[in-house]
Amino acid sequence: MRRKRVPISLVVNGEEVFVDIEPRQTLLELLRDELDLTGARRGCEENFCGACTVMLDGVAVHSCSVLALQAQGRKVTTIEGLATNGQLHPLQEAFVEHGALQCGYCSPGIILSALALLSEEPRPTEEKIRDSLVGNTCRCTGYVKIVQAIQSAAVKMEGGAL
Amino acid sequence: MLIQHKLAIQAPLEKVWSFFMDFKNLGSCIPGLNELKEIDDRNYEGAFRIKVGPISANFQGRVTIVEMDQETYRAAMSASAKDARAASTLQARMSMNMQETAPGQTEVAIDTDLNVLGKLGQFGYWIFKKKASDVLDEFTACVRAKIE
Amino acid sequence: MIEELEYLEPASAEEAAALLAEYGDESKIIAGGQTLIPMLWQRLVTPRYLISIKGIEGLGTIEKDRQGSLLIGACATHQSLEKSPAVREGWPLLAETLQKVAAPQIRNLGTLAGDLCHSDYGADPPASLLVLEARCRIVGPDGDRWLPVDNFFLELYGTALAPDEVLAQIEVPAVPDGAATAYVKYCLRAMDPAIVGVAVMLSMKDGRCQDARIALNGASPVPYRARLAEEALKGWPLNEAHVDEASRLAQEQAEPMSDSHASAEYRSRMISVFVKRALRAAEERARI
Repeated sequence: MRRKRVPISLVVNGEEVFVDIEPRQTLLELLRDELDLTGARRGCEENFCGACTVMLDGVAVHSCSVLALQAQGRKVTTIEGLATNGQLHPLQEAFVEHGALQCGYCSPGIILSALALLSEEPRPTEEKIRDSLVGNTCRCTGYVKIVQAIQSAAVKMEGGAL
Repeated sequence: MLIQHKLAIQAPLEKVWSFFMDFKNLGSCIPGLNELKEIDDRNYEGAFRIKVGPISANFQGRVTIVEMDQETYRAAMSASAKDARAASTLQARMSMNMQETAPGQTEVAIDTDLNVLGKLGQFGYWIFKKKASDVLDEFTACVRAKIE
Repeated sequence: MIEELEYLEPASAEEAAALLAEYGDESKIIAGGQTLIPMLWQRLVTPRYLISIKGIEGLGTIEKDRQGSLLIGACATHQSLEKSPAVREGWPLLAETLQKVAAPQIRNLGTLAGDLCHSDYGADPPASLLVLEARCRIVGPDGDRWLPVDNFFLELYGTALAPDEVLAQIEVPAVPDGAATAYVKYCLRAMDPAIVGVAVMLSMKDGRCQDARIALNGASPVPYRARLAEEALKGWPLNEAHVDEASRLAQEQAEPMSDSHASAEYRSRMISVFVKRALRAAEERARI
């Protein structure tokens, strides 16, 4: 059955994107199904687990709970937008160095939450880091190494590169 | 969960029993019951709607009369109904008995064992008890209006 | 997700109310969508029309009026309120409470007004708004009306809003001079709704309580002011005997229920524990 589609435009990872979507589609579906950006994951679809976390105009959001229509004209950053010219972002490097991921399912979401935090607070306390991850669930790691990786990345990033 | 309800009706036992044994009568007094169709003398099919705020569910299913004893004025039935969209199932066993408490006064006791399975089961049972209680209150008022 | 959806963008709250009147049961207001969109996904609600109030001019503001009251527009997000210097300075109870709502991602988009309209007993803001004696400005096809927050929550998922009304603004009066406030929340996991959440406002003088306001959410199907507990404190020092009595009265007033987070009995017991903690927290701040 052919459903009505609506054209929207938004900026994804620095690039302007034009796409036709159904009004009922979420930002998560737009990213995964229309743009092949599968780093954002379907974890729960009840606005809880955070595996779908992306940045929308610089703040972390659960993309499963944003309508694609609501992203019209806005800037989205996904995990795919972090590395530059094949060089991993300091957060990504820190996650690798510190062993802050096991199955990796939650990692894109967590890294983006951390990026959102560090853009606002370059030297957060451990408590602040943990608070900022309340909307991201990790079943594997126990969060310890995640926090360490974020702290280590914060130090590296304060040098200048974001 | 167990829901117990009593109705006091100003009418003789026989009259109340006959009223209750005609399922069409009962059906007309249940708020939210959209449809009641007889399949045979023990089985009925129906649709039942409940609403909690903006959330409404439409349950379709079957009611089976398991026991009906004219001598002791007892009846029992079991029901099972599904709402595919809400991915939920209601299962209920109801037992009913009635007795004359005074000449021309009958007390009907209805005990329901209700289970809510699936997505709607995430809501605490208290909300279903409250809804059931609201339905039974309306049912009682309707039955009394029709019999008394 | 539901099959067909139309996204409407009215230019004013009055227009939004008119659309609600026109489409009735087939429509829902959407602002941040942090509660509505997951419900759409789970097909718990299936509107055909989403009436977005997000872009409506004037609905997103946070400002103070000439009486010093805080005026919160329907589209003000939890995050913008939590971070607002005016809120942090004048209504620290609100800033403290909103930080405890759900998670950052949800607070970034979800609106305080939307939270209230959902009327879920585990939400955190109601108790604080009850203590602050806030009012709601409600817009319908026939105009505006004001309603104290006290009368806004009727039942689980049910508010005093008529089917064709929109909550446009929340007004929070200035906190009385010298009053100390606190919100304590009990829940199992970081993102969970409150099993019990207690908001308190205390005015102390010479070691005695001049005025007390205590409100609870999470504990009962509808958030409530524990007025008997408040009366029991007035005029007395906050020693153990009086705090215990107040918490007992607050507990008695509740009609706790069992759900997937806690049993009714556990909730009931936690009411007394957390009313005491909230009173102690506010009292300490009163001393500073």
